[in-house]
Amino acid sequence: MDMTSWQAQLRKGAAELVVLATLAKGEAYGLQILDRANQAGEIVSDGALYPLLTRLEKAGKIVARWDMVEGTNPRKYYRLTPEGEAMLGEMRRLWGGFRQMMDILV
Amino acid sequence: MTRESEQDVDAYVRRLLWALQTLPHDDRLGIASEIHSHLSDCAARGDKELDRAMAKMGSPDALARSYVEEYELAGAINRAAPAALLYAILNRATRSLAAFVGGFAALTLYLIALGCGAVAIGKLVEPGYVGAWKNGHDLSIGIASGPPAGQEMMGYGIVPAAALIGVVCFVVANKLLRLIGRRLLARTKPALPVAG
Repeated sequence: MDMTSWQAQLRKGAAELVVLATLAKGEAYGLQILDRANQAGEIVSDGALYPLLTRLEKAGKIVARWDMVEGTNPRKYYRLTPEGEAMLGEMRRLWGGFRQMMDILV
Repeated sequence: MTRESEQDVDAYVRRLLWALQTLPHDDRLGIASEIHSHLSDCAARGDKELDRAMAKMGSPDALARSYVEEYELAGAINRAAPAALLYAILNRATRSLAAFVGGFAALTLYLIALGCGAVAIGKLVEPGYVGAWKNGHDLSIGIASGPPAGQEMMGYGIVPAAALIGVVCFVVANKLLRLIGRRLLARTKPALPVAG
């Protein structure tokens, strides 16, 4: 079995939950999200993060605003919407159940 | 940020902008600005960090493709445009089994719907050449290219029957495409293309 592919699939499933959980700690821009999400090990890559943020924004789970201060790098800040918070709550609940089940089985 | 890093970032973003041509102008600029901002922040941390970020970002073409696919699917689903949705799904057929099977199933259903429509209209225009004929043990249904042999079974009853089957196939194909589209849209690309 290709372990690299299996590991990538695990991370793929976790990325959305990790990004939403990261934003639950407060508004953040891309690099901040990446730093927070990967502080315990690399879960989300730079190239996967931005299309994922676009999808979540289009789905109404997060909203964004540009912070343009003259003389500084313009940054796009994201935060959770109530719909995103509800989705995160449900994903956390399912994740907890899944982890318990795997702890018993593996 | 060094001048060389700045040039690298600008070159990456220029290629990204070019590759995003199919997206709306404002969205292209928004994406390019965000990626530029990200790479500039990384460059401010040092050349090594910029190299890491660019490697993890993938080529501008690959990154653009991820965005374009999201837009194609989301746009087609929101606009309820079956042709655009079918095109977007068939575009992914080589990389997703669901897109391959679902896309071709939907395409088949659309062709059946088209055929049924042709039969329903054809019966009204050329009633003698459209119908269901029984010739011995053989049953043929549809539009005949020449004078048909055998006994016609359905008469004008074939019009509502073909119209009903056509509408059902069309509706099922639309629902199938939307279902696959949403499933594909819900999937993220691997968070890390190559695990460390």
